[in-house]
Amino acid sequence: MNQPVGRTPMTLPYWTAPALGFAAFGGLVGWRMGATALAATVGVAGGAVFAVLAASLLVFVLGLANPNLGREVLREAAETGFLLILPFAALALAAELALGWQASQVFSSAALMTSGGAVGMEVARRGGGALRSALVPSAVALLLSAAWVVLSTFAASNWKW
Amino acid sequence: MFGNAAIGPVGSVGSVAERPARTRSDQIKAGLLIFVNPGGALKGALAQLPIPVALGISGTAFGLFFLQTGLDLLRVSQPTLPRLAMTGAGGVVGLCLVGVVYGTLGVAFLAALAWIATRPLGATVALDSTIRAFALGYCPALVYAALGVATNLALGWNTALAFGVTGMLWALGPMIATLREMLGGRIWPSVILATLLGGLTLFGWAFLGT
Repeated sequence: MNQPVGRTPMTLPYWTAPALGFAAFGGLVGWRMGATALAATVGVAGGAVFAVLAASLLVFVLGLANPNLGREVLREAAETGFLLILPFAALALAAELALGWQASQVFSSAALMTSGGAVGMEVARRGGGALRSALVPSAVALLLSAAWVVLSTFAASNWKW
Repeated sequence: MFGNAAIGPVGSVGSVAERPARTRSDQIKAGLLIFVNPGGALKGALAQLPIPVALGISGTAFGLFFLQTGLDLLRVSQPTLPRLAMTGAGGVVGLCLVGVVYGTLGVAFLAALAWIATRPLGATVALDSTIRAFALGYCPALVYAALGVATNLALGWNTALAFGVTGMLWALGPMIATLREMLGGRIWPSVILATLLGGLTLFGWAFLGT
């Protein structure tokens, strides 16, 4: 029996969860590097912008891979799949604030990979190709994860807050 | 590797995963499929595995994770658990055994917590299926832990955070898939429960392993 599709009762855009999650990751990076409210704010804004672009790119690529699916179906799938970023963001905040870990990059990479795979599975449940829905978002998420690590590390290392 | 996953009627995602495993290679494919379709893998071929085998997978994953922690601590000579007699190689082995216990009894306890928490939300899945699914969700963690130990020993890197924690985080995907299956597809309760249970796992490691 297939797992129920489970329409998420959200009315916000599909990139909301990624934006919130990566705002948290960016804020952690900014705070660790600058230790000021300005640094954290810049990190929050940067993370949110990155996430909106990344989520849009992933949905666009999935649309190319599944031309038979409409834009609304893809957005529904993204809306559900991207929710998986939120647990990683919550755990990253808890790990940094409660345990003093400097591991937000680990959490953000896992968040992108897991949520990318989840979006792909949601697309597959809604009629997308099984194999390409599994592999294409995972590959895109891997590249986006690398891009986030490079961009956030570069920004944190080279900009003066 | 995922060839059979593409075959099947529309909507039947991961057909290898959603029929009983007939061969060892089917189970291995399902174990690898958990990386990209955890829900399907856990429902299908992997659902045939006995619970001791499933808990053996999670126990081995945590054992290797804690082994990396012990090796890293030994390498940097940080203070270790005050309640255990941690000295040198004996301490590392001891920490590894703590990890095995954490990965078996701890994961079973975590699954039981999830089973109890989902009862009021209408879940009807049996406890043994829940334990099996939670334990098998650590298949990716086992892969990461094995790679981490190899890297730790071969290159002398501190790998507990990069490989160990990453592996534990990868288990969140299958955990959420399992919870969604138990809760009839509802995503928000699954996400919230997975956050709480994932936090328990990480904080448990932080308390026991560092």
